[in-house]
Amino acid sequence: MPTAFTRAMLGLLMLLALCAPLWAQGAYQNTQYDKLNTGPGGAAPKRDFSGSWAGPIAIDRQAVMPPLTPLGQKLMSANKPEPTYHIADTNDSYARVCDPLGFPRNMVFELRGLAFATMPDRIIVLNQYQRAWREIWMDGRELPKNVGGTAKDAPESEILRIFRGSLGEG
Amino acid sequence: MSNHLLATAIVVAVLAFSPLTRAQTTEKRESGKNIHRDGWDRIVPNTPADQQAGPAPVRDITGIWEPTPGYRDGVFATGPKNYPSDTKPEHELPFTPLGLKTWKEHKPGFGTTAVPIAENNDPFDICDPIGFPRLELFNLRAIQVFQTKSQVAIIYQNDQVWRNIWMDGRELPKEILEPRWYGYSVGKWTDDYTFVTETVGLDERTWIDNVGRPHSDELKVTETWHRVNHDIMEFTMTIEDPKMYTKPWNPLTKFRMRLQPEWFDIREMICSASEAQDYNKTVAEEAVAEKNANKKAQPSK
Repeated sequence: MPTAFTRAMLGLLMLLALCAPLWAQGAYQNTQYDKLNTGPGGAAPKRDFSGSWAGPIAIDRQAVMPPLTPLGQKLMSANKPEPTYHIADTNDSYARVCDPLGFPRNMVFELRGLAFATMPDRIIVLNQYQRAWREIWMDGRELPKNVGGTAKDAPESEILRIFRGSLGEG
Repeated sequence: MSNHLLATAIVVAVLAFSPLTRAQTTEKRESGKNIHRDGWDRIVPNTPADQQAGPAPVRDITGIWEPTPGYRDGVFATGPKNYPSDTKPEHELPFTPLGLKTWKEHKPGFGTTAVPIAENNDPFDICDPIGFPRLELFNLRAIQVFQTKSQVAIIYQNDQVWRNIWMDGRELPKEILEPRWYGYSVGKWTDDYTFVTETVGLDERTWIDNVGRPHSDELKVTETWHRVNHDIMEFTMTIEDPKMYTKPWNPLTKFRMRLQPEWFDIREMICSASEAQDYNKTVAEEAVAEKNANKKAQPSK
């Protein structure tokens, strides 16, 4: 007659045997993850970033300060980032009220999944964070030289026009 | 001649001999009212009324599209085209008792149930994500569509957001563990020119439109994008939500979008919460204070 210890050991072995498929599934998933994240991959297609991309999320806490000008230093010292000043005292409009992160901050903070759509004349970048997109033109156009100039000259800016439109006036 | 006079004379001469500058200035001055410009300030030409469009490509809705004939035709401030919030009986929605109750709890800034902006509870007023389908039922402006074998993605001028529609054969999720502002979408071609999507799993905090029509966790949105020819696409939407509405309804039917030039840059249009706060403090609260002051000033009956 089996002792209590033997019965317990038999029960444990049966439980482990039943769990084998679950183990296998877990191992499979890990293998897939490893392949995705550390494998050598095939050759890169030419001039093509298309697809969805993700990578390790990391913050470089040891980052050195950029070479600020006096004006840059002054502006920097006026900023009260949330990690230092806490949410109660920060003046970061993103941290306080969820203003858009904007570019380039959305590439150096909360850089999570990215998707690229490569087209002959442009690339569109889709960010996971804030579900925002950005378009990069490759059709040969030059960067605008008068940003803000038109709005100053125009009697009614496009922003105001859009606002009026949202009020049903436009 | 003094230096001052000399400088003035030079400026006058330069202006007089610069018709190009004059034309540009005039054009810029008109730009706010009469001329449609893209995000890079380029003039978007009007389409000639007699232009003959070529045939539509097969199973392809890629490109940049805007409402037509007017590029602001998709603003829908007082509700979508088929069902504006007004007093006309034909615009009444088939609310369930819960739907009507929930709608009355919503306090929009527009429509028959509008309240002053300082008193409204529109989640988009504090720049919560606009969500789907409101993304297409309020301020439907320029969109750009691109396709791969497995999905269709749409980027929107409205709130600078994107959404993707899976075409890899997956089914809609049967159990929604995480409701999303823009839901879970699948799509398929029902013929060579018609792409149909279905979306579920939408966050209940969002409103269906700008006048506060509500939805529940059972909302299912069907979009039909039908390419009529090379230049024109018709957009139809169907709302099904048995908790809020007794039958399906179509906020938009064959709403027309026109293909834009390849160089067209979609304008930036993003809700900024800090700007909204400033606006509410400087304009909305003052407006309410003024209204209350006027009430007090009026002699009681």
